[in-house]
Amino acid sequence: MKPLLEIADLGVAFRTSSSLIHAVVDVSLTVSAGERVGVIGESGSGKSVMARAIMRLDDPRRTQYATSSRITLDGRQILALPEREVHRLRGDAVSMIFQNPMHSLNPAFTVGQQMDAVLKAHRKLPGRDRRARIVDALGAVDLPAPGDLVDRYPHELSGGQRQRVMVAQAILCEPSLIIADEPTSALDVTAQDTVLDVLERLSRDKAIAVLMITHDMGVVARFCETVNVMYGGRLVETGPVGDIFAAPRHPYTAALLAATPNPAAPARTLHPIPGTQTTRRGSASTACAFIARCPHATTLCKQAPALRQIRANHRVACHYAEELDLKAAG
Amino acid sequence: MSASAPITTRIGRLVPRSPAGIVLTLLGIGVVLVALFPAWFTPYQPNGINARAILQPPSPANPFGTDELGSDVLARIIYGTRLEIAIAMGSVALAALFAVPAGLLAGYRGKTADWILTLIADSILSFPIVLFAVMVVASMGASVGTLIFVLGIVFIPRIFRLVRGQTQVLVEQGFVRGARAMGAGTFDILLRHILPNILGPVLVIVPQLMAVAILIEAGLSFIGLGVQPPQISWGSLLLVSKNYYVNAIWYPLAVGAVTTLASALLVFAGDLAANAINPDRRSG
Amino acid sequence: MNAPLLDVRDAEIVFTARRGGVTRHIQAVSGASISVARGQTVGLVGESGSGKSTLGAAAIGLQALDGGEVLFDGTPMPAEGSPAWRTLRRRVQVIFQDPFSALNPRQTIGQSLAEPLRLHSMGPRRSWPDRIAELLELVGLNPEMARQYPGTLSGGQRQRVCIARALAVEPDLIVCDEITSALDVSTQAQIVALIADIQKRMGVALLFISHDLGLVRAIADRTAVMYLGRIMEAGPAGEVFETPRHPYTRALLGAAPIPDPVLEARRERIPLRGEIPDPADPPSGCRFRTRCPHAREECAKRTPLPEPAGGAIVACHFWREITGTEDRS
Repeated sequence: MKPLLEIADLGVAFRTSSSLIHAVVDVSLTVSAGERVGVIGESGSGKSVMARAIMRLDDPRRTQYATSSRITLDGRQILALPEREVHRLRGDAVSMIFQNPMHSLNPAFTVGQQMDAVLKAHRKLPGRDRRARIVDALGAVDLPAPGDLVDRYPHELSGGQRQRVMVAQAILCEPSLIIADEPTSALDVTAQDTVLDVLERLSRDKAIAVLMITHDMGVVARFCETVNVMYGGRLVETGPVGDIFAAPRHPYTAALLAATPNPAAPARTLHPIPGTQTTRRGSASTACAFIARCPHATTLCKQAPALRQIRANHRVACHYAEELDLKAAG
Repeated sequence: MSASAPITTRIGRLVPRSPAGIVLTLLGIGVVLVALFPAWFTPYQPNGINARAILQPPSPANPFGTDELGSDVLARIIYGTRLEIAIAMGSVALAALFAVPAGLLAGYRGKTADWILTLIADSILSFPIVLFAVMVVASMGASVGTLIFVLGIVFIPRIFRLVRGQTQVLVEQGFVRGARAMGAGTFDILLRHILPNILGPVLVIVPQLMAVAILIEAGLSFIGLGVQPPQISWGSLLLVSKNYYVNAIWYPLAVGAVTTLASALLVFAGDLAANAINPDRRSG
Repeated sequence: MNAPLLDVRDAEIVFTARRGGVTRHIQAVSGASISVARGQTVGLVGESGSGKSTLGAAAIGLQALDGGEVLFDGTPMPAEGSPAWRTLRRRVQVIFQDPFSALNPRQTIGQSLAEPLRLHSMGPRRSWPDRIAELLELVGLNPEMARQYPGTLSGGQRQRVCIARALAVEPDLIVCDEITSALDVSTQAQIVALIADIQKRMGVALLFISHDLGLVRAIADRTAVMYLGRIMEAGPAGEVFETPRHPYTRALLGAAPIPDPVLEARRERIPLRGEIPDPADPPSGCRFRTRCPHAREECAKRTPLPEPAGGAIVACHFWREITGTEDRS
């Protein structure tokens, strides 16, 4: 089966007054219809830039895509489409949900008015049908009294409710893909749980694929079927969530797991990753992105390892993927 | 000791790097030299009378022509600079003297002090400048001192509001809360943590207020409430020159142009300083 | 038995807010008690609006109480400005959430670290540079950094400076208010490991406030769970996390994702109804009853008082029944 979304050799660089910042380097990943795919990384890993590139949301005047980059969505070459057609896709075939629901909702308009604006832009429907559809969507995300909620203003809702309004807005046009960029990072755990529940159910029931961008291994374990680990703009490991959590093959993935607090694990100290991630300027480095912080690095690592298959669907960018005993670290 | 270093870096950041900044700075230094040593810049006396050269049009000897008594207009403008600068700087300094402490107090303490001080500032702001000037001149007489006093009062709310707003923001910052938690007293916090951080924004509005001072001075002197002859300011020159706009159009034109140019350059300097201090605004 | 280092008893804190001409009394903290023994790490968990940060500020005298009392080392909070107040300001320190606003941008790191030394006259002035270098090394930073301005430092480095500054005056208690929530996971682990190590070596007590259950579990000896201004459950960290008794603790643990897909799939989830109520108009009786899956009439009538349950204390009328039935199933 052909995947719904296929990103191949994506490279994104930003021009600044003095230099070129390579935010994403050679990233390839696929999302199948109805699949829940995670992209995990810390700030500066390039995960959000990658997500925005799918809908070409970055300022074209300062964004450069590598010439070999291809993003194929449902057979369409996103990077080659005219802006007008990409714009038509946004909120229709592909919806996005962002971290802060307060910034995504305009305080001057009611929930219904904002959702209606999206619907009107993409569907020619009489007003009464649009309202019915909006109320349905609000009900589908478990918001209480949706018929009443359409006329409320964002400030009357809690953070968790607002984020569920964003989810409702995202499903209005029955998208095939939702890109969720840290949708629960600003929420409390109980509100996060509800939003993830709703997204998971919608994904199952309506076969909507979800690309979940997050920094939280817990969210990945909770929500995703496959995961892509990004570091320093590169994809370092990708595969089924079960396999990767049980036996990470990239030192960074293992270190990230060891550094993640776990409310279910008996008290243990967290294992920090030494050092900090650095943003590369100028030409993309030829060394492994993790070399400076990796406890296993050798001179071989000065040549960037290619992402290679080590098991079915499990790919790792590390020269020593088969040899290292990483479980011990975590 | 420890508070001095940040202030030097703060001033260091004001050293211009862009071509426009360098040109403006040199121009500013030039104007100050003109104010201090007018005789270096013109061979004429400002009050020299020459009955044979009354209201002469511009010529190589008198680039801006001569006035009704035969004095060189350029020389009069040059000699007026000193008073102009004194009024602009004096009024801003006078305003800052009251407004900075009041703004700090209002922004830091809040509650009653804030309410009273804000009320005073708003009252000043809502009072018409000309009416206020008339009242002050009526009781104190028209002089440079009166003018500085009037402008100083007028500027107090502008600086007060800025300082108060900045202080309110800073009070909520972690380093101010942290200093309080460590046991630092109010004076300590104001001096070490708040003042160094508001100095930049205050320095930025100084040239803008000076520009306003020059324009108001011109206006008030023009209606006779400002600088009185034989003292020379650009405003008093404007007052006299208006009588000759039919026969000697270059005369009021030259004075008006210098006044406008000076305030425009000051506003521009303020913008440049604001951009230098706030790197986020550079791109915008 | 020694008196605890910090003993907050029945703290009440009410904020008055005017909005649209209506005065609202927001009960940020109502009847919360928490204590910290010498050298102990107590975790205070809660969601936003629980009042945990307000309680933390009150614990060190930075927030006035409207009821109850705070005893530090057995003595009540001294009046602001008194000599005892100044001593207290040395003995208790606080580290805030946002490392980017915690340091004065116009002071070098060295000047920031000198401030507590100056305020509390810690040794002669000429000894400060050495002391500052020592402090920077203690938190894993290069002593050369004393000459830099905060603008050049990363979030993790700034938070290390804040830890160094808190340690400069050799305090007995440090309140850590969400100190890692602005940091990345790997940096967070570094900071938590650092503070845990320092806690062990120097024997300073910590009140560790966080919304992250996993983080609290990793560092705390004891844990208190707060909801809408009240402590719902408190006890040894292992006991609270392994055998949670209060329905809120159970729901909170049930909502927190576990970074392990196998355990995650087995996690017992307790869906909560509705939203956190308006703190200006909290529910009668038990604060949690509007969202509690086990709530009954009784819960609206009587406020549950914290009662001993195993090694912990629980503020719920029906914790025995709730834990009993689910243990059998």
